Amino acid sequence: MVSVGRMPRISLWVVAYVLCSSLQIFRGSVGDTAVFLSGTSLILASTTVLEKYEFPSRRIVAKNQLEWAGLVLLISLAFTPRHSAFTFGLFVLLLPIVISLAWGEKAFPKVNLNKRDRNTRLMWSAWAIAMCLWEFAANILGQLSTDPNNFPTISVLVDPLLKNELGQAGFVAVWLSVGYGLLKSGAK
Amino acid sequence: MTTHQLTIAGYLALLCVGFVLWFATRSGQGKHVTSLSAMFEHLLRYRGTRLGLIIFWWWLGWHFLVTVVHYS
Repeated sequence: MVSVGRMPRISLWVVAYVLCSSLQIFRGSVGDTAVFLSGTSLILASTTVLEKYEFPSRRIVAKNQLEWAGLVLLISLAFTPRHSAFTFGLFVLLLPIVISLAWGEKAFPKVNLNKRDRNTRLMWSAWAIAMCLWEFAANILGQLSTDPNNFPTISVLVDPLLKNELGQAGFVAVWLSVGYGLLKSGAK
Repeated sequence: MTTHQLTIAGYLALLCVGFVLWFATRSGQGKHVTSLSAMFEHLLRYRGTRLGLIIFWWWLGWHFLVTVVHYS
């Protein structure tokens, strides 16, 4: 059975970002709160007041620029110290570029979703929600506990692996691959 | 079992479930479900999904490479 998939005019990502913003407020992290609140506003605007604005990024993403940019970022981020002014500058520069590339054309294209597609979306959504709930619980219980290590979050578990060059380079390679995949698939 | 070990066990269990789901559906030929990559191709047609995922991806890099993670 095939039906025309209809997304709500306000993306569910807005809800997810509001929840993440709340968690960051609870953590007392001003920077992360600013990122998630700005993200919430941008996603909300992108599908409402800015819905008609388009940024056709397909041609840019289709050429080799993305591969070259990825290579430059890999070299720049894998072998430079973390938490430096250089890394900060690079990320500040990167954000508007990836947002522009992901913006694309139509906000709500008509997509035919069959039952298999809907089942798959439900299955992976359930998995992602379970992972988020576990992470949120660890975060909240860690804040309330005398020692946050009693309930380690993903950050607390992954960060020590990035303290050596190989771990940092591996993380950067995986992280860039995911971003590359998102931009490439999103431009199709 | 301490709460530290229990928390890690929960993450590992969820990762295993994710791996099994991906492995079992990777061909996309299943009767009831399609593959993860096919699902992403559908969902990434929506601007809200594209922006939600790309901003979260950027934040992950920012979180681990720019800001300092506090352990205690």
